[in-house]
Formats: sequence, structure tokens, C-alpha cells
Amino acid sequence: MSGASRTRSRSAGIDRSIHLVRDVVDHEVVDAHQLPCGSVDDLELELDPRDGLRPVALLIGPGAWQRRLPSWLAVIARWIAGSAEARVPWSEIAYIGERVALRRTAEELGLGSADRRLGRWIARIPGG
Amino acid sequence: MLELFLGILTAMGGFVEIGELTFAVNAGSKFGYGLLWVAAVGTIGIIVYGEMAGRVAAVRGQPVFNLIRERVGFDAGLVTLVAAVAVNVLTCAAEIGAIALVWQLFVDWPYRAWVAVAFVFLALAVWVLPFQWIERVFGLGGLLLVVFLAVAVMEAPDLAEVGAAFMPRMPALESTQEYLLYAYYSVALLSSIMLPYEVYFYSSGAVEDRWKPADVRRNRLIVVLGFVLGSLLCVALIIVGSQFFGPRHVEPQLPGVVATSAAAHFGVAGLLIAIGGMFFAFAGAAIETALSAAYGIAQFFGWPWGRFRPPREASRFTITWLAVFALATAVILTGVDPVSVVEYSIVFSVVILPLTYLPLLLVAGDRRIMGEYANGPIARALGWLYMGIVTVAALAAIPLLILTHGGQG
Amino acid sequence: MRWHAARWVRWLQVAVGLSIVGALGFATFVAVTGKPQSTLYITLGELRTRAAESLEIARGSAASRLTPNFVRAQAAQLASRIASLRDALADAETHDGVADARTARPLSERLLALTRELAERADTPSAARPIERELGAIVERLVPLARSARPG
Repeated sequence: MSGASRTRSRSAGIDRSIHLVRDVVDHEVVDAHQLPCGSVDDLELELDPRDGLRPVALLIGPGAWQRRLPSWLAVIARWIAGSAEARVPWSEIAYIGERVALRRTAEELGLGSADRRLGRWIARIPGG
Repeated sequence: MLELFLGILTAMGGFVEIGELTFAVNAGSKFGYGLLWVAAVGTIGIIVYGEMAGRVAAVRGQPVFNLIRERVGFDAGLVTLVAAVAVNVLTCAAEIGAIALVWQLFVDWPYRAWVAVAFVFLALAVWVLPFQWIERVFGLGGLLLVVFLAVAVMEAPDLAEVGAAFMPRMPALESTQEYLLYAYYSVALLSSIMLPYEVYFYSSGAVEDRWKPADVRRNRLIVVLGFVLGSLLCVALIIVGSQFFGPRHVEPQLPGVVATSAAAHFGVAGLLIAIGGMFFAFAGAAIETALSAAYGIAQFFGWPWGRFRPPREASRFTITWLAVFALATAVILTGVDPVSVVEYSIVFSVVILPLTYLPLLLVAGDRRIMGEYANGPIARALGWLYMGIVTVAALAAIPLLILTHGGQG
Repeated sequence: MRWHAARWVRWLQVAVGLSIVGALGFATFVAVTGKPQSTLYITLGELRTRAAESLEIARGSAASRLTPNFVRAQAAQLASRIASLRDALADAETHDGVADARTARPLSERLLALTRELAERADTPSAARPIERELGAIVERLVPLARSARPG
């Protein structure tokens, strides 16, 4: 995280948080087996009296990104994609590089369940 | 070395699809060599952006739609995604219709029956074949269109005149309406060469093929040589339009009619080669558009994707490309003329082109991400120049479509 | 960097949206206020090219450089398009009574009949020769007609 991309602000704590928001939100999330398991659709932040805003968890799933849409669009999106949402605590992150890598597998964290469910159906077709 | 050779030939064979074929031949028939410079401009453009997309995929292991979401954010990115998927479905529909038209020329079944067969054929091809085979079979099969290069040569065009036509200039035309039509054809031809699905597909393909930073030079060679050779096919079609169809007062809208030019010079053999080449080109384009749409959606939402994964491990991705084929087939079964559909899809493609290219240009030039592989001065200058060109084209496209009565005059 | 990109893309989307709206508005304005521009020249131009295409098929059939099935299928594809052009001309003839439409419609009828005949007799190349001659005559009449109907 280079100094050139830091925005002007008063406290180093907020600096760090804004960095993370820009480098984390909307980035791909991969699990311990390098399997994509969503994008960071939203962040759960906590206001700490000492450090300012601190990220606490990743929020992944339609429920999370629907909140970022205008309300009429969110209704349509909910109808199409549902409103499932997974909460991944910050401690589950192994490292943040180009992607956000998690310590455990998608299954253990409850991510990508739709893919697994559909996958069971597709596995029945020859060649699936 | 063989890989490189095959890669170049595949890029060349995949250059043409029903839209480019129709626009190029019509451009020649209506305006002679007047649009050759547009073909050159378009070719340089697709080389610039294809190279960037391949380089970013090789260095970051990230294809285009991941970048769009990261760079542009969710809402603006979602608009781009929806637009891109819609355009891809339209283009896919047109290609499927064109395949049915072409197959009808071999065996006389009803058009709709052939559309259904085309759907089954395409779905099976993508389901069964590994990614490399998909690329190679349809890319190399499309090389049969080289017959039109031979036709162009046989028409003995004045090479000095052809060469001069590569300099950008406006020909002298008879009326305002004709100038508008010329402008429309410029935008449409440019768009048909720089179709966004090609860039999406190429970047995802680079990740499917597991490219690494060491492949950056190979990427450059494939893109430059493959697309330049491919553009020769486009130029040949313009020449054929000008020298063969123009004097015969033909402005072809059907692929079979275009093939008569090959028959005129090379008899039944020429006819069959031309039609065969068209089939592979159209089928390849149908597959690429469907996969591009599926890549886009899967990458944007972070789903597992790729033909390198067995279908059950990328289930939502698999359902998506099947759904795109199904939706495209439904569109074309309504009986709408495939050539009209592709015309609209090409116009809408250019409208979304700047939305796709801007994030790519920004990421490719970002030293923080790309390190030593970031855009050099040439890539940066050309990238921004073309950003300007496609933006102007995007803004002019729909007004021109309306002013020329849907591109008909 | 990222927020610049988001802003630029949004501006682009707005600009494109405006250009579409502007063009539609302009087209509506012209359609409502100005003299309705006849698009008959487009129909005539299409008729001319379809006639020329049928002529090419007939030529190819007579010279045996096209397969019978190709001739049959291609002529059929052309015939269905010629039929819609014929209908459009019949419409223009009755509603606008334009002279060009009156001249062109019987030509389109004959063109349709010839193209259908070409499809039916695709197996005998020699049958294509008289069809070719008559198609040539039709094309020769349609070329100047289509050209003179063009605006400007």
C-alpha cells in the first residue's frame, strides 16, 4: 500500500481504514484451495475510540451488494438473486493481495453454497 | 513454437463473424475502397486493447470483468455488465441465425429446425470439448475464409488505389444522406472489428490457458500477427464488395449471396469452402459471445468459472452459458432477421466499448499493479488515442443509426 | 484512481444516454414537424439488390458452378425477402400512390415469380438461362429507378 495513494486525513487510523476499503471492497475472495468464493460485497465496520473505523468482517452475497443499489433496483435484484448473505470475520483472512485470501475452505465458511448445490445436479449429467 | 503458430492462426481465423462479413462487403459495394482506412484504424485499435487485455491477464491472472468491478465499483460496473451481457446475447442470437441460414444451403430443412440443431450443436461443443479444442477447431476452421483473399486477388484490384485508400479521407459523395450513411458505416465497421466480446474472451482465455508474465511477449506476437492477418480477410471482403458486388448492383444481406463471389471464380469448390469457412466463423463467434457473457457474470460476482474446471465445479458459470445459448436461440426463433439483429448488436457494442476499455486502460497502465509490465509510452499514447476514438464513435452511433433509418440509407 | 474511474464511467454512461435521448428527440421532432420523408427509396434500393442477387444465382445455376441444393435454398431465402418488399410496395402504391411504387410493384411481382421458379427448377441448370435473361432485364429497369428515387 503505497504512500502515494493515501488520502489526506487527520488520524493514521482512518488512513489505514480507507486504504483497506479501497483495496478490499469489490475484490475477489478466494479460499484455502484458491477457489473463488465471491467478492467482497460489503464490509462490517466498527467504531473504535482509539483507532477510528476498523473493519470487522467481510460481507459476501446478494444481500450485501443489494444494499449498494438504489431501492427500486434492489427489489428487482432480490427477486432474481435472493438475499442470502455470508459474514466472514476479519480473522479468517490469510492475506490481502490482489485477491482476498481466506484461511479455510469455502464450504467451512458457508460460501459458494449455491454453486455446490447446483453442482450436485450437474454432476448427474454425463460429462459434468 | 507450434503453440505460437497455432495461436496466431486461431486469432486470424476468429477475426470475422456475420456482422463484420456483412458490413465489410456492403461497405465495399456502396463506397468502393472508401472505408479501407476505417478497417486499418479498427485493426490497430483491437491490437492495442487485445494486447493490454492479454498482458493484464498474464501478469495479474485477472480477466477483464474482475478488473471492471475492482476499478469502477459495483453500481457503474453492474451497468456495464448488464449492457455487455445484453449485447453478447444479441450477437450470439445473430450468429446462431446465420449458422442456420448457412446450413440451409447444404440441406433443405426449415430454418427454425436448423436453429434448434444449431443450439444443440453449440451447447454440446462447449460441454464436451476442452477449451483449447474449442478455440482451435473453430478458429482454424474459420481460416477457410481465406478463399475470399483469393477472390480479392482474382478481381485484380488496382493496388495503388487500394494502398492510397488506407489514408484517412472522406470521399466525395452525392448528398447529405449519403454522408450520414458513410459515417454510419465507418462507426459500424470500426465496431465490428473491435467487438468487446473478443477482448473479454481473449483475456479469459489467457487465464484459462494459464498464462504467466513470461507469456507477455507471446501475447504481443499473437495479437499483432494474428489480428493483422485477420484484418487482411476484412480488407479482402471490402475489395470483393467493391470489385465484384458493386458493379453487379448487389448489397448482400445473406451469407450465401456473399459466397457466390467465390463460386464465380472457383466453381463449386470455392462455394463449399466459402460456406464452410462461414460456418466455423459464425459458430466460433456464437461460442465466444456466450462464454464471454458467462465469464463476465461469473467474474463480476466472484463465482468459480472456466472450462478448465469440470462443469460441476463451476455450476453457476455452466448454467449461465447454457442460458445465454437458450436465450439467444429464443430470440432468433421469433423469426427476426439475423442480419438485422447483428446490425443492432454491432451498434450497441460500440456504445458500450468505452465503458469496457477505460478500466482496462487504467489497470494496464498502473505501475503499482503491473510493475515493469505496465503500459509503455506507445501503449499509453495509443490507448488514450483509441479511448478518444471509441468515445466519439459511441456517442455518434445511435444518432447515426436513427438518422440513416436503421442503417439502410 | 478507482474513484476517478467510477466517475468517468458514470459520465460516459450519462453522455451515451443523452446522445440516445437527443437523437430520439430529434428524430421525433423531424417526424412530427417536417415533411415526412419518403423511405420508398430504401425499399426500391433493396428490391434492386435482391433482383441482382437472384440474377447472380441464376447465372451461377446456368453455369453449373452452384450446387442444386444451394440454388434451391438461396432462391427460397431471397424469395421470402422479395415477398415482403412486394407487400411494402403494394402498401405504398395504395396509400401514397407514388409513381415509383406503381412502376415497381409489377416488377416485384415478376421478380418473385421468377425467383420461385428458379428455386423449383434448381435441378436443371439449363432452365436457369431464360430466367437469367428476364432477371437481367428487370435489374436494368430497377437500377435507374432506385437511383432516381434517392434524396439529394
